[in-house]
Amino acid sequence: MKIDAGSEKPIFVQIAEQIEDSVFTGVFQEEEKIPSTNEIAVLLNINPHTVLKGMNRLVEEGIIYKRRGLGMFVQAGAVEKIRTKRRDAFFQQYVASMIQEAEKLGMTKDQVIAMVERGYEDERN
Amino acid sequence: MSGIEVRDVVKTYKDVTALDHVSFRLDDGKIYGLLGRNGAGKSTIINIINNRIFPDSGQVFIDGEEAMEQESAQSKVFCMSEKDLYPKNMRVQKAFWLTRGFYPEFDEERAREYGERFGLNTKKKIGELSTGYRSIFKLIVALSLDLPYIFFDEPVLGLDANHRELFYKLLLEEFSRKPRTFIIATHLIEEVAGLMEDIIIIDKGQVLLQKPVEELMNEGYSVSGTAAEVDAYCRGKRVIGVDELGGLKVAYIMGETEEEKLGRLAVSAMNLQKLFVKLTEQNERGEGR
Amino acid sequence: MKLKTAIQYQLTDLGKPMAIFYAVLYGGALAVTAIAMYLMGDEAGGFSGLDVSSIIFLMFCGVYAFLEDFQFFIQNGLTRRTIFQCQMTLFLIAAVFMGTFELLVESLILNNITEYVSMFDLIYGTDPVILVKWLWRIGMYFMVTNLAFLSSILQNRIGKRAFVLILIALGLILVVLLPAVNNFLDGAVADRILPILLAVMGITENGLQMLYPFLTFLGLSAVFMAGSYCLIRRAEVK
Repeated sequence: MKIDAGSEKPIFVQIAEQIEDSVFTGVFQEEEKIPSTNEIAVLLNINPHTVLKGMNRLVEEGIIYKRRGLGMFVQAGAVEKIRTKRRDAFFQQYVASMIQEAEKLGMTKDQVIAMVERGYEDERN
Repeated sequence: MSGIEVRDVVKTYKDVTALDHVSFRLDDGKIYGLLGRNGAGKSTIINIINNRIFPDSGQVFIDGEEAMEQESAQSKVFCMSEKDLYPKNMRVQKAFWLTRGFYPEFDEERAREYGERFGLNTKKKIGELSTGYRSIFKLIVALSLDLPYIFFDEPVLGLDANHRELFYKLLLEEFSRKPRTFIIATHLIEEVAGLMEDIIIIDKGQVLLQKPVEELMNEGYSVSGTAAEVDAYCRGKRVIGVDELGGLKVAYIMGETEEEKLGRLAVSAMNLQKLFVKLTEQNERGEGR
Repeated sequence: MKLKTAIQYQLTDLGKPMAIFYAVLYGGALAVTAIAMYLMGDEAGGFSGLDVSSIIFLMFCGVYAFLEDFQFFIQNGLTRRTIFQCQMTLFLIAAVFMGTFELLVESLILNNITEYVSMFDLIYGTDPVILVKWLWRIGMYFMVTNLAFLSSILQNRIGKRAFVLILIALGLILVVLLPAVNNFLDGAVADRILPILLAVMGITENGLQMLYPFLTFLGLSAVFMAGSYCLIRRAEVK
């Protein structure tokens, strides 16, 4: 896990994303405990309150939950939630902006689709 | 009533106003960043709070008590600064031992442990230590003191990268173990951007702002595009700085983005350092007050 | 209590330099006497005025007490009031100790070995009343340390330049101006001032009045202490 404190992206967002990533890739398993706020704070040299804010965001999204006295645990079904969330984001981040850019360049829908097909061809080879 | 309150403090040296009616509050249990350029007044106000120098006017209260020349108030604060106030001939371990005599809240055991982690030779005399290790010695004393308010004035000057990382780590460990108020005064903004919860920006002896870091980061953004488009967007906004390069204009703004008015303008967030630079540049120009 | 720690620290910190001081002072003096005796036999004269060195030593202590210890104590959260109390205690203990110790050494050792004459003896002749000698010494030592302490603080408050200027001015007045005026008035100044100075030291026409120097030392010490306290209240760490 790495945080860029000098980045424009808020630190708590970076933390939320990185914990989410670890859940998604299976580093943190569902129904298992994740490191505490203080542990992550010390590891990354980040203020614990900021870490907590990042974690709270994930709690709101239902990816982790708090067990009183024990700490933060990964929610059952979190991986699936993340996948859905990321697929939605995929559309916004890649598809919608691709179409926007294509229109700026004056490309037609068919041209764009042809490009996508070419992309998959290249991947296969 | 806990916390440190600085009320309308003024300090002038000959013809320079070091502090111009400075007021702010420090709550307990938070890590504060006191950010400012060289000579902005950070050290001056810290020295005043720590009973080293006197204000021309204004007051400082520590947990409701007057800070100036009061031992009960002063026993709640400690200051680690660049100035070497320790006798040069004193050995480090003796300094630790004496600190324990002055402060029962000083943990000698922990100080020794930190000394090992930094590679500090505690048998050496303070005057014989290199600049870096003299800072480290003072850092260790401050970190091993369980007092409610600990000030670090430019703590990492002279420290190599490894030692700086170690200091930040130990600071957070201490904060986790026993939350107290740490105030870090520095001009190295990027390094401490992640550590602080609230920041106070001081420039030319004035407090420009005091806010939680998150809030400040939320409020700062930049828009770029043609000069005409940028100017149109910026009407009625709080613009803190402007850069122009050929036909491209970038405006730095504090406040909420107006999504509808953005049009073709590119928006990006600002990091803390950029915000700081633009705000202080603005103050330099005499605007925005 | 911070004051207690401060005093303990000051005392132990003073111990080593003082031990070295006395070792060098008496050791050196005795060594020189031994050599002289060897070379010249019984005709070797005594030495005198070792207590002048003590005065210089104490003046260094007084200056040092402010220069180095003041900022160390501020770093550790002491108020200037507490620092003042600590230093005064230290000065008193040092004066009493040194006065007593030296008197013992002189009476028991030096007087039996050589013809030692102390500064007190040089001024007043050998007064048999030991108590008077003892108190005089302590008073002198205490006053001198306080003077050094005061001047150290004064320099902090008014700055090095102003301080040096004052010293030069004082020096010029005492060494140049006063004698010149005195000459001009055919010794009228000296005729007036000298008797007063001597009286203050206890040497009057009616014989030795040891009360006067005590009052002088006490009075001057009080003045210096008051001055130090007033100045230290607003002394800043530079």
